[in-house]
Amino acid sequence: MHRGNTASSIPRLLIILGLLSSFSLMAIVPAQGEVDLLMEVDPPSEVDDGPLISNFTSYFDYNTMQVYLKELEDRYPSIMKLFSIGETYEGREILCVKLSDNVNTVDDGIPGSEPDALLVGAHHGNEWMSYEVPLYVLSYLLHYYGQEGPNGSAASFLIDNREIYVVPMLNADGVQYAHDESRTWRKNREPNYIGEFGPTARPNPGLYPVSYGTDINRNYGWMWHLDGGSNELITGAATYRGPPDNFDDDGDALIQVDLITGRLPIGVDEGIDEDPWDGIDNDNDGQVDEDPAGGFTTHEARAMRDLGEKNRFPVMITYHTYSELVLWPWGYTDELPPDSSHLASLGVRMANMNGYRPMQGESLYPATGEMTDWFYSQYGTYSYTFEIGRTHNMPGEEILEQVQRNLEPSLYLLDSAANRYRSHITFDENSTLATSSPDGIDVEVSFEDDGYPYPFSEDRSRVIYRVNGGDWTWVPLNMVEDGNWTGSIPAQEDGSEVEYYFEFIDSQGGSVVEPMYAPYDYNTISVPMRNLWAVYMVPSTLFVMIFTLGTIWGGFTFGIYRSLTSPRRGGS
Amino acid sequence: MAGGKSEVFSSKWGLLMAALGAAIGTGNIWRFPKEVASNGGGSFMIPYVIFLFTWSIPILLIEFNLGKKTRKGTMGTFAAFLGKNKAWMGAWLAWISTAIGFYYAVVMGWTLRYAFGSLSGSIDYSDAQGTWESFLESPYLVVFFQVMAIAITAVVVYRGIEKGVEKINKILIPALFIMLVFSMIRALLLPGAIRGVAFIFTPHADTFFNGKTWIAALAQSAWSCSAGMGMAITYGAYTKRKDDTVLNAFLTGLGDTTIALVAGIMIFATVFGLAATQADAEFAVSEGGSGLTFIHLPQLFGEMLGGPAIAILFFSAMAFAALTSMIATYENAVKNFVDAGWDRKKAIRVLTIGMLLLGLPSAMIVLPVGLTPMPVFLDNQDFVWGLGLVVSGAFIYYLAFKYGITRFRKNLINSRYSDMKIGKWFDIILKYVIPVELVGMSLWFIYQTITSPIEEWWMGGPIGLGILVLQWALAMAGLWYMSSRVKGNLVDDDFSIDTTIDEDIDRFENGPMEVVEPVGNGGIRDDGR
Repeated sequence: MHRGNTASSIPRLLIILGLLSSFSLMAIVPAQGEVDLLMEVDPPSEVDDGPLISNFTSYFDYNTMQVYLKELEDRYPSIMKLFSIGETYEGREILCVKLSDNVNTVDDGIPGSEPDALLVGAHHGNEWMSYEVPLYVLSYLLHYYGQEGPNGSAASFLIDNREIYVVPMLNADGVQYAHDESRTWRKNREPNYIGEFGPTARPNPGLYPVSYGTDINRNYGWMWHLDGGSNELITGAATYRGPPDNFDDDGDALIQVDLITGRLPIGVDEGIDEDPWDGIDNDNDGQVDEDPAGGFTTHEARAMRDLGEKNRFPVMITYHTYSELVLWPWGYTDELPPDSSHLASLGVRMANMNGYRPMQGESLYPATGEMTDWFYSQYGTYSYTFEIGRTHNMPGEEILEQVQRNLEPSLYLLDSAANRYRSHITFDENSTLATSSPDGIDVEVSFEDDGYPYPFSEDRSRVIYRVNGGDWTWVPLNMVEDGNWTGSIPAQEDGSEVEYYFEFIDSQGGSVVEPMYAPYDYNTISVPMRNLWAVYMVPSTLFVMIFTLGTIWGGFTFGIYRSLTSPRRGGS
Repeated sequence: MAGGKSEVFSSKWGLLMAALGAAIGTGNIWRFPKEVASNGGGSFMIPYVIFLFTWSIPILLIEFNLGKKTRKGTMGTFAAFLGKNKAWMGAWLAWISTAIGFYYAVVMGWTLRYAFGSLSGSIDYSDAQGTWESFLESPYLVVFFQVMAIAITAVVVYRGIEKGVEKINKILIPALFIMLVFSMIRALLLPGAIRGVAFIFTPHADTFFNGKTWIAALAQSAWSCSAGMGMAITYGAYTKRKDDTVLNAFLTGLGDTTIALVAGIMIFATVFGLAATQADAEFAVSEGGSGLTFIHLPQLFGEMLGGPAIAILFFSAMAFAALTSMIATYENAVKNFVDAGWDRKKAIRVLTIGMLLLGLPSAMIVLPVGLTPMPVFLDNQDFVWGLGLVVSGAFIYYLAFKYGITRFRKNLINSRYSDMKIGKWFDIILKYVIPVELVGMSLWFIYQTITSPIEEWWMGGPIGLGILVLQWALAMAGLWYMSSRVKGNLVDDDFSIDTTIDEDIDRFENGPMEVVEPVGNGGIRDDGR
């Protein structure tokens, strides 16, 4: 045998081979691209339209949010508009984002225009998660707009068919103060003055502020004047509602406080200003709520009031922390609101999505001059408060989990802007069945109805379908029994892909579609191959099959036989 | 060696089992379905069968007879025929089989995990996909089983107890074969299963006229038959010169493909039979990859009466089949070390450490591709070294060409002890068909990869030309350098290139007996992948 240096050269060989393997490793890993944490939602999607824009692992503050939103606007100029709806006391712009496929068209109030929806975050400076959620929702919508897959369907449908307004950080001053100075800062940063007879909005010259900040979410007009749902005297209190309006707004000379003496006129009940925001003509002068007792002293509440006045949102969410609750009006009383069953239905539906507890706002604790009450009372807005999480101080690592948890209900609310009763309809899981026969494709859909106010019209409800990606067309849906409808699509060519969805129209013209984001999302059935199969596929397949199996299995069998019978092998 | 013949081929049953054992392996149960899936079913089958006869079997035939002639490993064989400066070509053969072994150990680890999992009940038959993906995404578990696979192989080879393994295999391999056929029949009884069969055998123009399909078919045929890995050379070196090789080569190739078809029909019948819709099935096929076997087999067992019990036996048998392939890989490499003057045990130790380290990336690098986690590094290695078999084939062909193809057939293959004589068809295939295949495939492949979008084939792509050529070039350079440093001429002193096999038989076997230690497979060729 040959010996010598051979032995020592082999380990070196192995080292070189090891290097080889690591080369191929280097080549593979970067090819995979970055994992886009931002968009890791359930169900996950494979799209990736560029570098990470925010990974939602640490909190924004006002400044970083501003930069982030501008960057988004640069990137998506055709579907996003960033504008200011007012200035805070300290001069920060209150930023509002509008998402729509026609962002620059102002169609407010035009009948048949796209329904509006509003998401508001950070009424309170210390509730940081409350602006992360709307920021995430808008990032999600922008990112997935125009993409394939379930997320793409949702985002494209909502942006194309809604006008979505997002005011992520209403209390910009308070949030920034909480970031820079005091983590627990709740209110805004307007100075409070105490006049001779208590808190006042118009201090005498030379008066120094006694404290700072009004609770913006106690500063809206509706029932501002009621006691118990806010703090009216102690300006430093967390729920300080702002100074009273001591002026005779309607000029009828009936005033609550005498400006000269500072005393209440005799005979005027302290609880009633002249005509506060309560929907009643308290002073019997033929005008309603024209001389309020106070409210809207903050820049922020006024900005929201003006935005609401302009858009009259059918639906909105205001995000807060914390308690894991979904709340709806009224916040000031335990009386049921007029639309109680519908409000509750939508609220419960959303609460089922994020796993929160649904209830009327007052059940938590009474709150007066509160935003959802204002919007509901003034515009009939189905307005919801989400109390996110189990603490105000959720660590950065928790942001992604929290925002993702609140994505689905937020999207559901945006979708409900077109039909606020649709939450009454629950389509059964796997409810839509389709079977294909030579005579046609029978489709069936079933749902539970727990209080939808109007009946669905058999004449107008339909199955809308298209064949092989062509134009949408439709056939009528027929009710078999309550909550069970069928339709029959005409027979299609073998191998066609038929895409379809259901549209239910109620007697008032409201519509409910299934799947939710149809026609951006739809069900699919493929017509089995019957004829083409017989003509072309079967013979060629059979040929390859017989050729292959015959050669291989036959050859192997022959080979075995040959060995077994070979005179030299086998039994010898 | 006296009595070896009657021991090994004492019965017809033994012969049948030896042939089956060589055929069954993960090459046909794991690799074949994934290649069929990613290359368009029937479009893949046609070139696959063509290459079986015009590539794998002729190459195997040459390899067997080279080993028989030289009694050496791959390096020694190339040194004997082409001179020592061409020994690196032989090293390339051994390297390919070793490089395949790096990730093969990982695959064997997977089968071990499923063998243990089916035993302990940790496979969720109703969520086979979840079981597979969560396993694949836990790198330490994968590495654990990879280490176990290598450890078992190393212990067997180190202690020379291959015979024991073979005894177990004599029971397990027929059992595996029976279970395969049984499972295939069960899968075919699933409603809609016929669509799966149709998928395997329906050619489509777009994939059929695609160079990648053809090159993949060539690589799969060679991979599964071990044609070009040098194992047949090593095996030939351990057989007697009188032993027949022609039938052996045919049985290896045909048997391997027989099992591949059984496994393929079983897997695709299951995929289509259990999928909710045609679209779901097509999606599963397009996602494909290693999951095809490790997801859909458990799904099938979940459907079968007594499936979980069958699964235990099936995966254990598959693990043993994989073990024999790993043993053959070891022997193939070790033989070269020993030829170069190494101590056998030292060679095994060095090889074991190399196997372990170089297999780690294949075990650990699992990344999501689309929605599914994929062992991307393993797939890259499989691509690179699978195609490396084409180069191996070219080297072997070059050797035969230099020696003279007709001369090779007449002098070295056909002996008076052959069961079957090889006719002129062999010359025709080697002189005309194989060169056309080699040149045609290479040009087609290079043309296609270069004309496709740049990120598809340049360095970044895990199955690109860039990374392929880079790894090949580095391997060749390393092997060439190392081979040139081997002292001695690697060839036995009494070797003569000019004697025919009949003369050698007279010189060595009919004359004074040469005592060959029955290490290695001890006569049964049982390295089927």
